[in-house]
Amino acid sequence: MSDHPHFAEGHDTIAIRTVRAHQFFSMVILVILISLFLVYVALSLYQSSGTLQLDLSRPGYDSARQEAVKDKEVFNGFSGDGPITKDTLNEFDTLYKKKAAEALIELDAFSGDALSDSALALDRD
Amino acid sequence: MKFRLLMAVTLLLGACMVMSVREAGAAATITPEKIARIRSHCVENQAALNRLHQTDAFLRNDRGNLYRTISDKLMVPLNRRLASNQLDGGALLTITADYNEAYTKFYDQYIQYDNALSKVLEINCTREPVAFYNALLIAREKRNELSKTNQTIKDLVRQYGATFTDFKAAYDKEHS
Repeated sequence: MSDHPHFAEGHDTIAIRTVRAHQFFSMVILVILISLFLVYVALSLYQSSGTLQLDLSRPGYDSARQEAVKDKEVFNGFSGDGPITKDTLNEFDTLYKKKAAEALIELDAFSGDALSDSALALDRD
Repeated sequence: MKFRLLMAVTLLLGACMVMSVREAGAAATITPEKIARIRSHCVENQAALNRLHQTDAFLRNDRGNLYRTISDKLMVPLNRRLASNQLDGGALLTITADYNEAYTKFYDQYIQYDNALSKVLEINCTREPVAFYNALLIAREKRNELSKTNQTIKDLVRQYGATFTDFKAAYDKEHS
């Protein structure tokens, strides 16, 4: 007698009865909640991993994006396999000197002066 | 027991005093004249800081990619190749390890600096000049730290190059 569907239904809460009555609508709500949770996780990772700071596709970074697009040269680097000969060492020397020159270029990168009082005219009227 | 407790309380009070002196030190430089200047130059400074924020984002990408390339496509493959040929590349290996450590520091410090600068940009310098200046001091400190690490990376690039030149000279001498 207790297995009778109408009897079992009588013991269900209002929430369960509502979900059963509107299964499609409930599924849509559930899917939206799951996707919101996944978006929250993704954005948290985006922020905590530091990707946010490297993302030039953010609004307001148009000029930085245009500058970044200009340099799209593919650099294959030095192979990690094979014998060591004078030629391979010379090849590495050429590649390394090229990249080192780019890295050691006198660029005023992240110098403290840009945020100084004088740069922001806070030391004079 | 009482002596230990007294020591602990004294140390705690000392630490609190040091912290408060540090905070006061940061705020001590803000004079009424400076507050007036912050307010009067607010608009142009916000624009300049916005431009700096954009330039820094590009620089971080550009330098970061270059530094990563040097490590991943040059230093690491050469070290691997030397090891597989049973050649002594110990000095190069040490520099690579220091370089990677410095790069990780650079990566983290840029995040801290960017967050600090974003905080400065969020503050309305006309309404809250003191908060603006304090946030600016923090951003300046973070930028200085970042600049030092950037310099360390450059020094390590130079060191690796010089060590490789020595290695190559020794190899050429041995195989001539």
